Amino acid sequence: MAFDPRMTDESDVALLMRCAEGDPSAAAELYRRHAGPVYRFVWMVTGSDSEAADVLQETFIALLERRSGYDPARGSCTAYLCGVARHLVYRRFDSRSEPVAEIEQLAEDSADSAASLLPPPHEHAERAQALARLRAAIRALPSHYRDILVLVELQEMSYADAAAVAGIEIGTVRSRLARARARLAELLNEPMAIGRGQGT
Amino acid sequence: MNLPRDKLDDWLAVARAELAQIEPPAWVEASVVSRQAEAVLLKRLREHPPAAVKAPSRQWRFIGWGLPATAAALLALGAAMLLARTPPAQVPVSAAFVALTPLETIAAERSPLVIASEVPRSQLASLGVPVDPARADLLVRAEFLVSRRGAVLAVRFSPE
Repeated sequence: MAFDPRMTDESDVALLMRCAEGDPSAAAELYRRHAGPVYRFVWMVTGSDSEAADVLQETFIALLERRSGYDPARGSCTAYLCGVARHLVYRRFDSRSEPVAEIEQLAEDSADSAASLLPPPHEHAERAQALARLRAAIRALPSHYRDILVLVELQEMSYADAAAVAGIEIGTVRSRLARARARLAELLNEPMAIGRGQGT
Repeated sequence: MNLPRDKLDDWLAVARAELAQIEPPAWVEASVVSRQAEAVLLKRLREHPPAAVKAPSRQWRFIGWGLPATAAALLALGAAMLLARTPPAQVPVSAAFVALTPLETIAAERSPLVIASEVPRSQLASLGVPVDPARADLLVRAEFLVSRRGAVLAVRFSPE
């Protein structure tokens, strides 16, 4: 789902000020605006409903308890929250093993059906399976590629906001996105075009 | 069907559309809003205490709650006797709080409030204190130790 930070930046700041003044409706409004993109980002990265819900909750509590953390000059509020969520995800996974089984399964599947791993999207019989496979491949990407791909390609976030989330330069976002697409194509065992139109 | 070179883009578009349908569970919003409301309430309690409030010092709490339960019971009995005998002009005095909940519960409360009030003696009966029916309407000064969630943990009868 696309979002336009220009439409919400100023009023997000106003909402955070109302939160600081104790207006309970402000927190609810902030949540309604930004919870979806943050949840979807974490869900896509972790592949877990419960992890995504827990991280979303922690993210908003962090926002409401440390209201001064958001600086609209550095990106949209959604980008800020995705950055907080990303940090929380990495902190959680620091103490756990990487989803190696998923990666190994992907490699095994690739060997089995190297010729045509992804059918055309309109073939509904295989659509769900192929979509699950694509998601698994995205999750199997190195995290610095995966996060940018999810933010830009799946969340339609601007390069500037994606840069704010990952704490990198916009040029780095472009190069990581290109490499992420190339790596994803490799994982899906099919040569695909790397180049693509520039993002917003 | 031949696979187009931009098939990855096609599938990313499908994944994008599917992802847009996913919504967070409702309990997260309820939890976040509830947490915010609780934080606001605590902030207001700190800024505008309900009465002459002072948090008991750690030392005071230790002395008060370190007493054995039997001592607390004896103090309660003494306070009750004072209430029953003291004329209205003389306020009954009890130096220590009388526990109304298990001492472990009180000790676990991190930041209790002390709320001073005047209550009819008749209401002391609900706390287990014997009351002379003839003087049940007279007021007595008391200080209540209250948890942050509003539970009365202990009471003491204070001088003027």
